[in-house]
Amino acid sequence: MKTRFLAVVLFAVFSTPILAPSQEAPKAPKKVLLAEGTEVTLRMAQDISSRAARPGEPVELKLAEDLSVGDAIVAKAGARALGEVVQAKRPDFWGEAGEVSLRVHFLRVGDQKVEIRGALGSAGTRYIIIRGSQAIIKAGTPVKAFVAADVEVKAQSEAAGSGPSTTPESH
Amino acid sequence: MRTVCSLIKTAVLLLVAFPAMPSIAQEQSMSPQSAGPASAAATAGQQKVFVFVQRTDRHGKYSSPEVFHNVLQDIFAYLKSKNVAIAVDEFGGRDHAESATPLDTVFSIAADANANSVMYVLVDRPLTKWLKISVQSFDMNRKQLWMEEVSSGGGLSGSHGFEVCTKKIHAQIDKHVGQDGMPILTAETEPVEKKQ
Repeated sequence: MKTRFLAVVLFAVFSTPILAPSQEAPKAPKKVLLAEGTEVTLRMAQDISSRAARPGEPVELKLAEDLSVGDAIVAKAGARALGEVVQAKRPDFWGEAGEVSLRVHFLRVGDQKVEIRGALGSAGTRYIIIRGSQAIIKAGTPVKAFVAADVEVKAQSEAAGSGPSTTPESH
Repeated sequence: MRTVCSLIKTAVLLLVAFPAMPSIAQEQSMSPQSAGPASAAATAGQQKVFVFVQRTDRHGKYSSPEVFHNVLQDIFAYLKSKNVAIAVDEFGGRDHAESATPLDTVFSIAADANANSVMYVLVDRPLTKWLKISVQSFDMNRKQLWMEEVSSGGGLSGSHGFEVCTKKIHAQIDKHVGQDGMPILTAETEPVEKKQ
């Protein structure tokens, strides 16, 4: 009888996942509030020229430096951003210079598309009688943008040795 | 003795029941998450190529945007007809550029689209030709897998050059379909792609 009970106890002990606490699911990434008006520094990831650009054409940009909220990094340098050409004008024979301008719309933060606002324009050189020059915005040109509205985003990582974040944690 | 036995029985029952419950709950809570990576792994099994069509500055200067867009549409239509598994850029929907785009940027878009290779198509307008199309295939380590180039200088109009060039490039691309850098859709993923 005793042996049977001992067997049952041993079975119970070894069959139940006593070690389960060590296999806990990974902690969900902390969410932070990316406030409206937060400055975002971008760089052009492609050239845009008044020769080939057309309004509505997508423009590729990338984040120039890590974007952080408090101690939490929400997007790392190199994250993609998207914009579009809003105006493009070729230079004409009478000396008018070429013009091109773009607007920035989205920044990729983790899996989210965060709405941002920013614009950049360029004009070529104006000449008299001879054709003006093309306007070109080169890859690498800095573009300043701002977060368009408050948005909750997942923190990618925290700065080493940082304490608790000052931003409110939301669920 | 009976009391001791019943106590032990109760203890055993509790021991079995309580540690088991959190583990069941954990399994239930984990099941949707575990389904994610599993399905991701299923789709990850499908190799995909990111196709990017680039217009050169010379083409912008000496040819029309319509020719470029015709080539763009033709290339994608041809690849789809051959069941080539094309990676789609979900974030920006990028597949072409009319102004110079560094290869770094193309590869970062391709990585974002979970592609396993890149097909980089250059649409050019050299001085002596109406149209020149070059296709380069790279793996994600930027090692060139193959390259094909066609051009047309015949005829009096660009439209003739377009027809000649696209026929030639179809024949050249055909040699690589299903091989390195040009994966074709597997039977499992085909219906999903068609639904999209």
